[in-house]
Amino acid sequence: MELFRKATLMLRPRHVLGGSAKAVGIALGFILFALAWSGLSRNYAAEGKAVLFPSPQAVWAVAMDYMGVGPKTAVKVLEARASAPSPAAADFAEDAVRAEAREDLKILGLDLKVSFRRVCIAFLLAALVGVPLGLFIGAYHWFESILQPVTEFIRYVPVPALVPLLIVVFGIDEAPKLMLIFIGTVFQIILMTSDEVRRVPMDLVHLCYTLGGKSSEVVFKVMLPAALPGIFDALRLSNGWAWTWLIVAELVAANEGMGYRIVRFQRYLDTDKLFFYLIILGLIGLLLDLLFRLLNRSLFRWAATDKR
Amino acid sequence: MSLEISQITKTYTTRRGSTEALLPTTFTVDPGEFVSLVGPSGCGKSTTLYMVAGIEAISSGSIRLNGQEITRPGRDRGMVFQGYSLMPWLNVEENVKFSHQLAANIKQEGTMSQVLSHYAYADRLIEIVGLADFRKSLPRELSGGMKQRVAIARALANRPQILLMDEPFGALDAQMREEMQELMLLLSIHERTTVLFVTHDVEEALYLSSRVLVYSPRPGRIIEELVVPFDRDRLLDIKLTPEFVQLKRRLLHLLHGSSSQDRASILMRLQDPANYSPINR
Repeated sequence: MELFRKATLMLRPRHVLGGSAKAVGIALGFILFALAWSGLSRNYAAEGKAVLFPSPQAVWAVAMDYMGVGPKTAVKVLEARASAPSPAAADFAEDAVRAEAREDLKILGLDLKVSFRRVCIAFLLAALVGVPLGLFIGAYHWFESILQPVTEFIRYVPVPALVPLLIVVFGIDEAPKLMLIFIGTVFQIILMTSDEVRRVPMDLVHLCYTLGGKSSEVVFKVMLPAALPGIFDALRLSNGWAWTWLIVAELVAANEGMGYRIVRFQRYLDTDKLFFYLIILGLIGLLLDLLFRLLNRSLFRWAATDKR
Repeated sequence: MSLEISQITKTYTTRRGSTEALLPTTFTVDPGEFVSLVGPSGCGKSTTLYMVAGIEAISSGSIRLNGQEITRPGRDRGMVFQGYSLMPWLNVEENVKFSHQLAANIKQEGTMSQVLSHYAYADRLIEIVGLADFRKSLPRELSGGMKQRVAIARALANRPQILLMDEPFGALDAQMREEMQELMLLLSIHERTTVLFVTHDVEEALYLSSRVLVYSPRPGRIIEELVVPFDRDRLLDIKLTPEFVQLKRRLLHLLHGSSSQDRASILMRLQDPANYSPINR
């Protein structure tokens, strides 16, 4: 009865969970996710279409294969050794199979490198342009009246609709992909930065003036530092968007990268590998998010709030 | 050296027309004086202060400090807000010395020894307001009273000619408020600070000030000027003396002339059978 009372207490709005209760919740979420996934895949398997929707086990096996310790590699090694005429030839055949397996991992590494490079360059450019523009829009009303309506207008043009134009203008090299990510994130950064700057209390601005501050000092010594944690959080959110636009760009025209490989897997019905790539993309997003949060917390200790 | 306010008014213009917030107001503050503006909320006392600070535009009239017309905020008028408005990313010491890193003050300070004396003065102020042990603390680690001490030290560290305070103790609990009043009184006496102080607390105004100006409800104008007859160096206990209470009663009557009427109407509504509620019967 006591336990029941505690449990119902936990379900109330804004009730803060303890560490272990939280861990149980997280585990429960992933278990439900895996159950739903394997249920769906079983449906496909029952209709003989397992290849269209692989089970969690199949994707796990692919992940192991990428590491060179999976079942497919093992079977191939056994087959190669069995058909070899001599022990020396068997060793040679095994090496060949393992080298082939390593090739997959190498491709994954290359895809990751290429995709990371694209996101990093485009996102850094977007931050370098977006943060100062957002700062000035949030600080100066005259600047806002000139730039804000235009950026709002462009922001509402759906970014994928720009792909054909970008290919016409920039060709099919790196430039159109970088531009797509840049355009897709820079306006979000401008908008969110300017909002953060606008949220700086007016009293702080007045105070800086009464201490003898110039306008530029109000902007750079009061508004910018006060808004910085919020701006950092805006960058975290738009980094997620950058990865979305990267995949869009690579789906359309690319010879390497995560998005390109996903289309290849689709073409050859390698859905288990496709799922593996999707999971990697999810993990990258999660890790980057976590990294941004940790950085934010350590850089801006003064802004930390108690989650109560 | 004095603050001269002559015939200033404030009119707000909206789509529906214009409202007068402040009728022509004239008064002066002499060096070393502690002048309080009291009045009901919305009477224009804070507006007056913000106009002196140069933050709010005056609709007509003029404000002069040492004969110089005031048009914008400046380092000669220090400001203390009710909401403390500390820079949350700076610690106590950095907050108090914030003005030292502004170009205007660096130029003014001139020689090295003067710069050093400014720094030394800021350090002394931190000690005077009782925050010596909290130099490295962030604002989020301080109580409301401590935050306001930082704000006062910061404003004084810039050596303003007049200190403008907008209900600085309004957000504090009663005990902390008295503590801060005592600190403010002694500080203003010893540092010979000229203060223009806005409050709706009559007792606070009487205890702190050498002169109290009473505002009427909106549209505001000054309806009474009271020179506080006590010695500047007074104890908190003075609040309990008959003379003090008598003055307080007089000011309260000026402020709430209609309060007995309010009582009558509340009682009427309470006793109206139409409002009879059966709860707890």
